[in-house]
Amino acid sequence: MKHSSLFCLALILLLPLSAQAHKLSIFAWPEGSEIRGEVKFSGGRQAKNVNIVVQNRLDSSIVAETVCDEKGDFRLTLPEQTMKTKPDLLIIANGGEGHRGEWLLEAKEYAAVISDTAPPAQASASSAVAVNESQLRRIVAEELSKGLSPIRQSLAESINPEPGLRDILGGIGWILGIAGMAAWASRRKSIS
Amino acid sequence: MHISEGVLSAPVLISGGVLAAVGTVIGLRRIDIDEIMPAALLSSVFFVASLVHVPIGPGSVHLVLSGLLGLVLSWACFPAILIGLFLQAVFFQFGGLTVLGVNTVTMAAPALCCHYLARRWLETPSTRPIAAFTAGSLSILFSSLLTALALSLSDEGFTTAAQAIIIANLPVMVIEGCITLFTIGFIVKVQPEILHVKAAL
Repeated sequence: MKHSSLFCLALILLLPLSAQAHKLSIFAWPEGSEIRGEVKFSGGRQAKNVNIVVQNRLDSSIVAETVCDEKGDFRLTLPEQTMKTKPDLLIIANGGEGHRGEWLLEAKEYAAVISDTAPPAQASASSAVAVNESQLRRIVAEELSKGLSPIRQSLAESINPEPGLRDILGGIGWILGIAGMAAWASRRKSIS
Repeated sequence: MHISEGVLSAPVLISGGVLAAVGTVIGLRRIDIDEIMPAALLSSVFFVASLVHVPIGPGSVHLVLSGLLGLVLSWACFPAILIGLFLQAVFFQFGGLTVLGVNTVTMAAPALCCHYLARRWLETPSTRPIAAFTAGSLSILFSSLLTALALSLSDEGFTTAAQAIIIANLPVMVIEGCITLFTIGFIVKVQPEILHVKAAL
């Protein structure tokens, strides 16, 4: 018994703890006038040509569809109809073989960014140099949105972290705890 | 090998849950007090093995080690795999709680098959390595087929899904065969009573 326990413990500890497995993760954030996103398998392996579907969260109707590129990135523009109603969006990646990932993009996350950067109704035709207030707002908002994009990306990613040592040790602790309780229960049964 | 939430239809989820429950009850009835600790340790091995990514081949795949669990634990591989999968779903978000039953069946049923196929060949030292290797790799093949079946009952076509999953898992079959071979050899050497076989002298 002693040997086998030691052996199993050694096997568990020898397994590279930094290694990975597969779960399809999807992140999305607003940038400029579009929605950008990234799909990957946990462990960083790129997911290629994964089908992306954007659903209206309320009635599950499909709003937009695209396919991510070789690096797992995708961008899509929302149709005008959606921009008017601004529903919460459920972005679904379907990687086939039972892999599926979801990301909820709430209206408050994208509404401010995208509507601020929407082109104004008419550009001032009189002068190319003069910049009125609304144009200035738009330019600032666009630049800000570009600058914030990496921060939005890493924020989105940090919501879905890779499993760490704490998760692994916690799980093993649970298994041993369950085994201890099972042993205790069956021992009581055999005594009575 | 883990099917995600929201892919399968309700009938598939429910029948998977029922089958997994039946297997788990049988497994728990058959388990002896002396086998609880080996079962728990192998369950931990299974739990961690899914984090070992195999970066070969087209897909994103990982170790499962269900063949090893099946050979050693017989029916008790059902509760061992169920607990491992539950904790993977909770801690790592692999698979999911609603698909727990289906995922348990797709991994534990092949393990059990391999137990009945290969277990008796473990008794004799000459056939032992082949039996261990076969059990390790066949369990992955059967699991791939069952996963494809579960998917095809929901939407994807069986042959396309099966082809994709089996091709992605080919490297895993070879690696798991080798790991099972060496692990069984080691257990026989140091702790033969776990397998109820006589140590090779």
